[in-house]
Amino acid sequence: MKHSPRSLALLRDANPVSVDPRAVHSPRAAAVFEQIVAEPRHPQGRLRRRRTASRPAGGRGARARLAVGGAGISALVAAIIVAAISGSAAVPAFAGWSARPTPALPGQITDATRRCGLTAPVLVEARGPYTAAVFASRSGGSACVEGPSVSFVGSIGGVQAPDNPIKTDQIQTAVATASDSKGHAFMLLAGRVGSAVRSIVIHRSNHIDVVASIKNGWYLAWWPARAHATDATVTTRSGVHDIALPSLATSSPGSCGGRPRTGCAALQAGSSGSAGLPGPPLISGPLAKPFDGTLLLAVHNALRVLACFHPPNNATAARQPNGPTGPCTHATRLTQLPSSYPVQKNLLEVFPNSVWKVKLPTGTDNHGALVVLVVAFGTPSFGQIRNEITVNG
Amino acid sequence: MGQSATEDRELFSWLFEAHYALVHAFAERRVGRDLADEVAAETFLVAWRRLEAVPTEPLPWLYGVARNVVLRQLRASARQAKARELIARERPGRGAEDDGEHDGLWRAWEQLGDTDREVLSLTAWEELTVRDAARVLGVPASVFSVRLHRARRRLERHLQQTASSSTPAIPEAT
Repeated sequence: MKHSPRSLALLRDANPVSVDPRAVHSPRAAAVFEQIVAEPRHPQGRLRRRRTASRPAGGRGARARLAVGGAGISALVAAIIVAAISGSAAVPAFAGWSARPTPALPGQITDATRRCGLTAPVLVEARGPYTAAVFASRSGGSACVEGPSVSFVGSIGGVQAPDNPIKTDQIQTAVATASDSKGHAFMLLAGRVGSAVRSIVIHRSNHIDVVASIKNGWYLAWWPARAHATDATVTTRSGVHDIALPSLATSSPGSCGGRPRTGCAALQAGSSGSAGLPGPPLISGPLAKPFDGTLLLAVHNALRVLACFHPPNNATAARQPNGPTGPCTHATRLTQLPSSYPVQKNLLEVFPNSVWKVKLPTGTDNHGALVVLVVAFGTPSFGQIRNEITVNG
Repeated sequence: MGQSATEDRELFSWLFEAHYALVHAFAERRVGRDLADEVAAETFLVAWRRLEAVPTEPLPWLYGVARNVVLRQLRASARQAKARELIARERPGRGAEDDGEHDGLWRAWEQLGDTDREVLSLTAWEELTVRDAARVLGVPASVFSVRLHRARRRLERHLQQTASSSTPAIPEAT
């Protein structure tokens, strides 16, 4: 017996509560998070608390009852409200990021690679809810990071094309910085790797090491930039080697000449590109909260910049993944630098740490969760970078 | 299992950031805005305490926990009246854009039993697949499919009846 889907469609239409993606960023949610993780969660602690659950209400005993029956819910909420009033830290940036690759959730890989907009990745890894991939191309490769607040695609410059074999104990590296939709920076290291290289571990200033993924002659690692990388340990068939990681600002050009004892660590931060550009496009910001309908961004190494605006009253549209060919499909196109923009001999001279002003439509409510998608296009070899920036007024 | 405190916190951070809004909306649909904060808080407290038990597809599991919290809450006599009042306020089609069709939907909804409402709301509002919705309720997918089929059929009939305003309600099958 067939039934028309009309009833379900009607019911969907009458959904009394739509999901508000901003809820998790509310002070209340942040207080709930901090309150929960403040509780030690090893099994012995749990047993001890359960025993105290039968004690009379009050103090810690009141909270402990939650583990048994949940009757103490108001006690927990009371504690949360106190925390909110006293002010607590927000949910950390890149929440759930893992220093070592993690097993991917079902669908996570396919969904993320589809959003990257490139096909047949040579390497895909998950770090909690974040997925990163490397795609080989004739001129080198591209790296992509997708996650709850990140949508990044950039070219891996300065590495030899995949059909040029590299030495078995070499690594060729490109490094990039980018930021998530809240302006939190992250660093990415990716490149080709010789067949004798077994592992690459990046050491950071906070002593949390980042383990790179290695597959099909490529490797990739990325990490929140709140702690900077100092050096790396490369393990090859012949032994363990330490290599220094130059900072982004002072990195050396990307040629892979010579043969250092650790293999070729051609770390670069935008070495020469095919059109004399210094490297992959970068977007950072917002530099300031919007005022008078203007959003300030710093854009580097871009031939062209595209900014799109998602209306704050359409949270669903704002969260739609942006396809590779139509990043502004569901958004209002705000501004686009024409392709005939008079680029000088080197774009850096045109845009040295340039500040972009994205003009928002007249009458835009800047106090909602405003999502602006910014795409900076580099040269063909350096591809593009996309950032979704959520602006709260 | 064997994870460090840092890894626990990172995993929970992701769980919380990626699912809080969804769990909060789930709770709000069932107990209203005021109590939704409490339900979401307790749901994630359970998740923190049972982090090892959280499956790789956490959303149905979290909804299942939230559902249990809601049921406990509704059983608490002191809150029952208030919760029902809040649910009534949140029932379908009560927005400013109400029209005759939504009004009919609401009257049909009122005639459904709890089981029917539960499977319909998981499908229409949480937009879960049969497999995931079945996980929320802890029943096999085949059982959920049957329940959904019957619930849709009853909702359709109630809609037709409210349109003609004549036939009495069909009792819910067990």
